[in-house]
Amino acid sequence: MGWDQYCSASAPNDRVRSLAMESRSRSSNHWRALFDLITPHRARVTAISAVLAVAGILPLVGPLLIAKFIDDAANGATSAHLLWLAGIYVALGVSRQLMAVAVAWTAADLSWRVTNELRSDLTRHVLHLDLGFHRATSPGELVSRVDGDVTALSEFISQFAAKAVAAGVTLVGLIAVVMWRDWRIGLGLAVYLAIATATMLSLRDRAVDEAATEQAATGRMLGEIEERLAGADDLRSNGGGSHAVATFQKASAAVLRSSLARERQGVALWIISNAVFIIGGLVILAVDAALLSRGSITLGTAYLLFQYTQILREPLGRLADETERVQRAAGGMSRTLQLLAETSSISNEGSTPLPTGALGVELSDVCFEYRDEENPARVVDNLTLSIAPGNSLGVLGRTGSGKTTLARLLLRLVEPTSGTISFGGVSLHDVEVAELRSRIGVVSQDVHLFEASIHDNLTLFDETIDASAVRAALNELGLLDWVSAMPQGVETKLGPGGAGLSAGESQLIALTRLFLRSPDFVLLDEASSRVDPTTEARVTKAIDRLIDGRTAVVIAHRLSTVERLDQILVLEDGRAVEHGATEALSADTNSRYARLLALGADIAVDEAVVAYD
Amino acid sequence: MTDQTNTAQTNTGQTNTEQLNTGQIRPVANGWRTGSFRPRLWTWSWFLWTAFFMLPLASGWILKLVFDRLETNESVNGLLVAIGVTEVVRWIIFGAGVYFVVRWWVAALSMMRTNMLFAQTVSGGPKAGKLPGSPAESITRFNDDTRDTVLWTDSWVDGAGNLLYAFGALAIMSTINRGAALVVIVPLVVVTIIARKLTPRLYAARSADRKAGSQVSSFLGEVFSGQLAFRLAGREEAAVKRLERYTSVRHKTAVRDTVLQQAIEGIASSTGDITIGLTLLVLVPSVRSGEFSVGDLALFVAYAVPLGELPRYVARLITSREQAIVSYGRLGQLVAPDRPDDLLEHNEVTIEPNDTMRRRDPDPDRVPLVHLNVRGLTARYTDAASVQTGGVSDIDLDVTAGSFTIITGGVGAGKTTLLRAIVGLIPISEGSVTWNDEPIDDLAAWFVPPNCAHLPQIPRLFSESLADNVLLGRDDHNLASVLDLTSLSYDLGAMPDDIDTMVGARGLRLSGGQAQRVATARSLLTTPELLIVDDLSSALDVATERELWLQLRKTTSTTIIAVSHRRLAIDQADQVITLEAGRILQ
Repeated sequence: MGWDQYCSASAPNDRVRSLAMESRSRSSNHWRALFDLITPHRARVTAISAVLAVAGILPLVGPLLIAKFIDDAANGATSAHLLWLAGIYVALGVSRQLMAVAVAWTAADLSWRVTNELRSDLTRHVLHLDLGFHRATSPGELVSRVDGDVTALSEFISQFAAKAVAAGVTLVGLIAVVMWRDWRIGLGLAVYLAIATATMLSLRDRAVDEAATEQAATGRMLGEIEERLAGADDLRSNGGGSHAVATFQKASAAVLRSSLARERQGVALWIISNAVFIIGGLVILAVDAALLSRGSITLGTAYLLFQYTQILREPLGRLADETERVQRAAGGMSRTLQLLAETSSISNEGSTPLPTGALGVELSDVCFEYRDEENPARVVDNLTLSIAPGNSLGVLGRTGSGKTTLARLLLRLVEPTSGTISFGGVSLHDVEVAELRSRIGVVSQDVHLFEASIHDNLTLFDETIDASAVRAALNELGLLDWVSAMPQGVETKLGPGGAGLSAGESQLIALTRLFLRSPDFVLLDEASSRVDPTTEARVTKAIDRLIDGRTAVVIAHRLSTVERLDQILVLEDGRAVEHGATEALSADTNSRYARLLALGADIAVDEAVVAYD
Repeated sequence: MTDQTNTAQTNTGQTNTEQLNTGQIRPVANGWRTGSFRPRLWTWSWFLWTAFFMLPLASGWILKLVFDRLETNESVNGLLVAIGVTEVVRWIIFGAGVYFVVRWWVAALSMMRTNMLFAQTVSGGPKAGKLPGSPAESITRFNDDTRDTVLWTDSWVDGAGNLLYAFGALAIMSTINRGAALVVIVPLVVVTIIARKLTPRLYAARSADRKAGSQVSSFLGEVFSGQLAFRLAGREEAAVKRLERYTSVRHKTAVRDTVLQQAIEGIASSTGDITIGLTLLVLVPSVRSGEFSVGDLALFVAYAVPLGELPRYVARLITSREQAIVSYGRLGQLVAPDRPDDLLEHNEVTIEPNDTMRRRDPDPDRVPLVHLNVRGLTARYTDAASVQTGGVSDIDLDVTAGSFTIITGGVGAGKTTLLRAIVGLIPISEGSVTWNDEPIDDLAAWFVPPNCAHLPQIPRLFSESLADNVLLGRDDHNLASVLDLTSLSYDLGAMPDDIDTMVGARGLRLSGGQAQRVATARSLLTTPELLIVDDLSSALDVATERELWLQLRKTTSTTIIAVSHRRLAIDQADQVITLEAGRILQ
């Protein structure tokens, strides 16, 4: 039985809420959202800005030093002075490297800090979305959205944005320095660099199509190989190997064609970007010659101007290479915002606190029908019953009799079509979902186990529960010897999906989980599969201990379990066909329960009910 | 290599848990064999790329002349034109270099892939290899490992160009100022040592980061698949807390990885800077003596930057060698076990536009079947993936030409194993198979069309046209008749492109019955002497199966051995063999 259509109100924090609103109001503005994520980290942003400013300015210093060296040497400076300049240059080389590392460090630190927060927010948000969402979205897809998309964002911040800012600083600083020397040349250089930058950044986008074609051709070729390998026996026994090789070579020829097309494009782009800087260099050398002959600049300045046309070549080339990252990050951000814009469909307006202690349960005239299905059927029909605090109710019935829906109603997984359900005298509508959740506990048939230690499986990763509490709970339920017998005791790691435990043992885990939370109302859905006798005895004992002093509803699959409960409800087509105290029903030889008992207490209820019909 | 900016190698050398005997792999000999597969393309690549890397020596020299003339106020126009021309020549060389190297590259990849695919699909013979893992797993070998080995050979070309450039640069520099040239070597050596020291730490950091990353994503996977457990227990925050623990671990590993990578990659550019600084230091005395020229300085600066790249190329050469050794080992597992050299056999690869593509190997000659005898055949099914170890023992079987033999028996009795053993898909451990009293050693090579065709229980179709699936590269003079025989002619009318209809990935666009009949047509195409048919009942209903047998018996004289448990087949059979637990039930 799956606890479907569980809905709970989401409780997004402010950051998530503002991001989600961002996405609703202006879905295209991812960058503004990104900015909002970063702004809370003012101190770090300030630090990184300082580092970036220095890192951006440093490349400008080298050519200045050389220019000074040239001019001072020409003016007959002392050796000591020249050695001093040369020494500074060496130090500059070292500090450039250090600054590059500092940029990488601060940018990576900030980006992982910011995106880790986003990951937490997204996980929290997703965990609060209703089951309709979870049924439509596979866990794998969610992982890729919460981790993959966000990682693209993180790479964007650390790999692209930081470098782009540094390159921007270099660009602005460079123009400022040249303007200061000669504003006309500065202006000319500004225009040239604007063109160069625009050219470089626009180039890569155009190479994308060819790269995609090549990827597709390679993908087809590999797909074909995979298919041939999978069908290798058929090819072998039908002499088809040569055919496979021939068609593979045809696919390879297509790869070659697409590779050449992509490289043609790549070569053209490389030549253009190269030409931009070569032409810039040649023009400035010609200008240098003219200005030198008129004596309006020094030789040092001439050299400086030439070097300055070349220093943006490397950073711009690298940025152009990484424009793909920008696209990936934009895609990631927009998917993230979409995810945040998902809302849960249930209202959560109640605020009445539940009374303390075991909770009595009352159902009055509860009906439920699935409306949106093709044949609206009343799955629960006028159910009225009450369970006193601390009492237990066993529910019997065939598949489709309404047991599952009754459970869902009690857990507020679904809302009754009419009638009311109340816990401790408070209608479910008036209780806050989180409050309800903290007071009730469920053991479903398909217990979800995690690929983690027994301890983590019991505490659901709650680190506030320590080992001694876990030990005490296991001891209380009589399971300590069972767990102690495992290879590493409570630290034994379970395989994927809890591999290593049987269905019965999974129930034991779930029962302990529940016991650790000490809820005031428990709902148990007994395992229907056959369980070995030792485990069965343990389950029985643990259930007895768990429901002792608590209000309990047990969807029973074994009559031996039902015998020990206070009341029995037999459901048929959503109606209560029998309801009463266990002792009274077993005494009445005409009751359905008594006739079931006559078939043997050992038999599974589903089989028994079928036999009885 | 074709993309100059993409020189940083971030490959980590994938961790390999499999046992690979890489000790006997000779990376240099293998690399040479890969390179010399297309000698003309390879030689041109060497020539062009070396020229490409060396040309900046010329432009640097001209730049020196430019500044020397600027110093004396002479005209530089001629020199500027010379720089322009040099650059244009370099562009042309670049374009040509890319053209040759890409063609060589794809040809080398195709050579290895062809050899492996051939080993995996060939019918018997010494070159047949076994698949080491699942087909999907092998795709990473066909893709990544082949690329890594070609990259290794390719890195020689880059390495040589860079090395020659470095020698040339140092030689030219030493003619200008011996001291300055010597001092340039210092940072190169230091940086190479530092990079070599840091690189293992980068690998360690990277693998720690990978581990931390997979911990995050696998925990997220757990959380999202078990979301209900957290929600029903109100433990959403506990999940987020634990996630934060894992993400903060990755925060640290990722930052460490980024910093180390930057430290290593940034070394190239800082080498250039430090080199220039040291050069200035050494040049100071010559300023005094008046030997110093701005042109010399310009030349030193121009040469220093590419020189700084050298350590990176050396590192790349070393990394790709290590990577290539592992990859050669993994690729060697796809060709015949004792013949690792088959991987690099210079075969006939036809991928250039002018090549004519054709099926290479003809079918073997037909040997008309008189009688087939199986004696004491024992074969075990040794598939690591399947827990069951089925098999057949001591099977005797005699079949005469034109007869119809049915093999029947319960689930797991060994029926399929027997058929697969006869056609050579499973090695037989004991016993013999004779064809007209001639013992057959290599069953897989013998039991192919036109002598034998095998129709498996779930035949595999491939994503090509219906006709290609039937023909498997053979000529089509028999096509129409086998399509008639299998009633496919009726289905063709409803298909968009008649016999050229693409059947989809693994034939999924066809119905199960159609796919089975396409496979049947495939097996009948050469009118084989012997037809071996596994259970058809999963794909064909009773009426269709009966029709098929009747048609086959009526229109061909093919000898048939078939697995079936249907009455209709058993009724038509000349002999019925019943298997139980791998033995013939007497």
